[in-house]
Amino acid sequence: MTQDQLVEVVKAKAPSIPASLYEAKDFADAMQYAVDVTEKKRHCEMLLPEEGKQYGPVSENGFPTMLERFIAAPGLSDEEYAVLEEKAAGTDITLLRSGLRDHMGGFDTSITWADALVADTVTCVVNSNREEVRIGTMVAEVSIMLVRKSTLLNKLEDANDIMLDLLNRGGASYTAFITGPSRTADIERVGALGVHGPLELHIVLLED
Amino acid sequence: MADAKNMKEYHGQIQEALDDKFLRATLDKFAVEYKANRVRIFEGMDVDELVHEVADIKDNAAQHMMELYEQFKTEAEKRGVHVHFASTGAEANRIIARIAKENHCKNIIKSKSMTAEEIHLNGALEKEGFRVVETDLGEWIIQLRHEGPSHMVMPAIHLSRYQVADLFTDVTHVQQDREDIQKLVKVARKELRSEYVNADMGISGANFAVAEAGLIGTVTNEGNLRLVTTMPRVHVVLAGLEKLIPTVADALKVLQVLPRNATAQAITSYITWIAGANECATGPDGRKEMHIVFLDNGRQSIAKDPAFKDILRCVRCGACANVCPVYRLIGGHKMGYVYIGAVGLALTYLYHGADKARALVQNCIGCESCKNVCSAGIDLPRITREIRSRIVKSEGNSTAGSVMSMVMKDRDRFHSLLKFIKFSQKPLTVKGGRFIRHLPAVLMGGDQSFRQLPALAPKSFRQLFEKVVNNPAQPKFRVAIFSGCAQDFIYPEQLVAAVRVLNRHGVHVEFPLKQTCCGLPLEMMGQRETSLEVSSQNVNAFEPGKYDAILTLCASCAGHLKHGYPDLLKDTGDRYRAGIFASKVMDFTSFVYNKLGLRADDFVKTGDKVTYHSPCHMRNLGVTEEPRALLNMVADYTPAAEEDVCCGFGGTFSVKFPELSAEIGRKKLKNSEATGASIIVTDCPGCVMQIRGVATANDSPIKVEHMSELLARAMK
Repeated sequence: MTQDQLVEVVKAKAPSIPASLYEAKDFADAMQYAVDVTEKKRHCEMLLPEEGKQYGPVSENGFPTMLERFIAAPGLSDEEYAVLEEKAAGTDITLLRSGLRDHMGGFDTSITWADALVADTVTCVVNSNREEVRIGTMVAEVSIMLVRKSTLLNKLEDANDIMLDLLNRGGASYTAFITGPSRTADIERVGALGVHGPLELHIVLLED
Repeated sequence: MADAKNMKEYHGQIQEALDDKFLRATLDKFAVEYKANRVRIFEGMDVDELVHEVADIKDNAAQHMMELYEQFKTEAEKRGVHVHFASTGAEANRIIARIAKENHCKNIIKSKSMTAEEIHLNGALEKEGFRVVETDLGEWIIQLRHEGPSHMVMPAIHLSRYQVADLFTDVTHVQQDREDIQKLVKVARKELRSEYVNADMGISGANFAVAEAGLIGTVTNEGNLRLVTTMPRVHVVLAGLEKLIPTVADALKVLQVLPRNATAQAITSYITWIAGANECATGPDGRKEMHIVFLDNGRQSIAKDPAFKDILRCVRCGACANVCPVYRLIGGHKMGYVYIGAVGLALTYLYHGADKARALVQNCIGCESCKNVCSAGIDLPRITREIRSRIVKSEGNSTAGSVMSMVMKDRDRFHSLLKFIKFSQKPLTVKGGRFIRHLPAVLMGGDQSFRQLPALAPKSFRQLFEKVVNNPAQPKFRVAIFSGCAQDFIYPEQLVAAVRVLNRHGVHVEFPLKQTCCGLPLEMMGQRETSLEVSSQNVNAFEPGKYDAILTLCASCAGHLKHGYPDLLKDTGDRYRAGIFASKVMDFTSFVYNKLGLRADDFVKTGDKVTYHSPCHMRNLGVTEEPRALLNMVADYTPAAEEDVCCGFGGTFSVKFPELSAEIGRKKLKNSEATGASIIVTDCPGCVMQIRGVATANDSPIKVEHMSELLARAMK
């Protein structure tokens, strides 16, 4: 399949995953998308509330929400991070690049690169060797995955090469196949999202 | 957790489950939805081919288990992992407790692991003073309730939202919403977050241990495993040796089946691949302290046992429970000790011993739905029968088993006994002599009042055959009939009808008199020795070379003759004969449709409104289209809901577990009646006995006929 056909497959399948899909004009547009998504969502729930601290209104789940907004972007290069900083300037969003262990109570959004996207299952292949990437993609309420169109794969078995490549870079390796938000059906087989990790997954497609 | 030591205790446990209305409704709904979802998710894929590939991959891995272990160990150690080997569950528990102690851990969090359940790891760690918290939602719920899982994939499927809400109210000291499942899930989200932060050790299982890279692969939806393997400074993986697999490509292949078969998902939300001691801010030198404990607990010897080795193919998808008519009635707590469903019966015996499995292993109806749905094509019913026969061998026979074996061993004695019963049953018959009145439960080995049992026919088929056969002068085909006991002695009219249809369409029919019981009931009772004797008698009673086909009208006999015999007789002098014999065995309905090629022109449509019951063993022969095509030609056919679900007979099963047989039978009757049909047509005398018996006991006007009877009536 051509790259365009694979993009069409992803578009067709993403809603049922569920994953939101955005085709960004360029990297700056992708960062603007992340900022917009973050500004539009309700304030992040604080899952580790501290006594005496001031919180916002109670969420639909009955939990306190934070007064600030946070975007964690642990996997961006210096240049990329600078673009995000530019887009977030003038908003009430605080950017986080590291030290995410100190934010385990929750943050709004994470931005991470996926190393590949399997179109057939809408699965992001994410090199998660860095602990900050793992925490970022699990603790954010909204996980945004950046995908270069050139990394689109057709079927799951086509991920073999990239798996071996990631494994053979030497030393320890931690790779995640991520398909949609954190989900469960453990109570009465009723589907529910965000049981431990993200409530939403967004995929942003970028030209190379 | 079904841990009944004897059948009486077990019946008590079963009754508890049958009385649980929520459980019954949940599992009914699940059974129906799972099947439909599974069909949808496999659409356009060659499932049989995939299952074969998975079986090959796992077989190959099991054969090279210890080589793969060595390779894995070398690769994992290169990446900074400590690899341990535990011969027993107790040893694995000791190793893990020692790791926790040496690393000064106190709080342990876990992601779901059936292997940890197998060795009762939580209890062992708690005894050592560690605090252990499960983080998978279902596992957390059952841990808080001090229960075991009731399904391998959905451990808390037996609980309602109300039970969960009340539990969460207790745990959080805050009144929780009793209706809104979304909110209940968020309670876990919040409560467990601090556990991730405070834990110093995380324990996970593994779906794959990939030898080529010392790589662990796990399949989850919740993502709790990613936090369990990221936040604490120590990570311990517990994996059975059967999780070893050579390559990443192999794992990706298995992944095409596992989530689809487990939860009808193309893929789960998270597949996590961990090779080596990764970055961990709180670990020594910024690295995780990582250990992998491989568990044997009998796996090496299972791999060497030809009768059991296939069980190591299991990828823990849980599908064998999802399609099991017995699981559907009683749930996992009563259909498993730790491992659940059909594979649970076998694994209980293999990992937890005969004591735990003795009663449990009886609870297979033999419908083979599990075999047909298995991710790796494991013949679970065969393994269950093998276990029964091993238990009989090592512990001696039950009274029923001994009597059965004694009678069946000698065909003359068996047939004389039937003749004797036929004469002596007269005072006990009702409804024109066709049924026996209800007998006291003690005589029947259980309450059989849910169905009216048939009386033996006044004349057996072997007595009638010469009078009814009218062979053509120039036959198109020559066939021999294998009657099976039920049609020979109870329902000879079904065979008489078949002979009429066959003769009318140019088929020469013979009936070799030295044939006897096919032996399946003996197998179900663990009577291997006698089962081998009757199998041998049967293959020697026929001259297979003389016939185009050996026809049987009993789906269960057909399945056993065709698939059971070659396997049973493979180590005997009859093996070649058994192979030829089996290759000739065919069911009557396929023969009529495919070989004789009878079509609408050959019949006069009867005008009857009929529905169909598809016998399990007929489906297992791959026969599904033919009966429906014939029904459409000769009658007004309306399919019933769940036509492909067992009728609840299962031969000796219905005597051992009348309470389960009754429930399944009544459901079958209800679904059939709902079509408005006046006749249920089927292809097996066992199913006729069950469904007609249940209909009669319930005063239902619906009739039950064998396909041969309907075809004979509709013949031009």
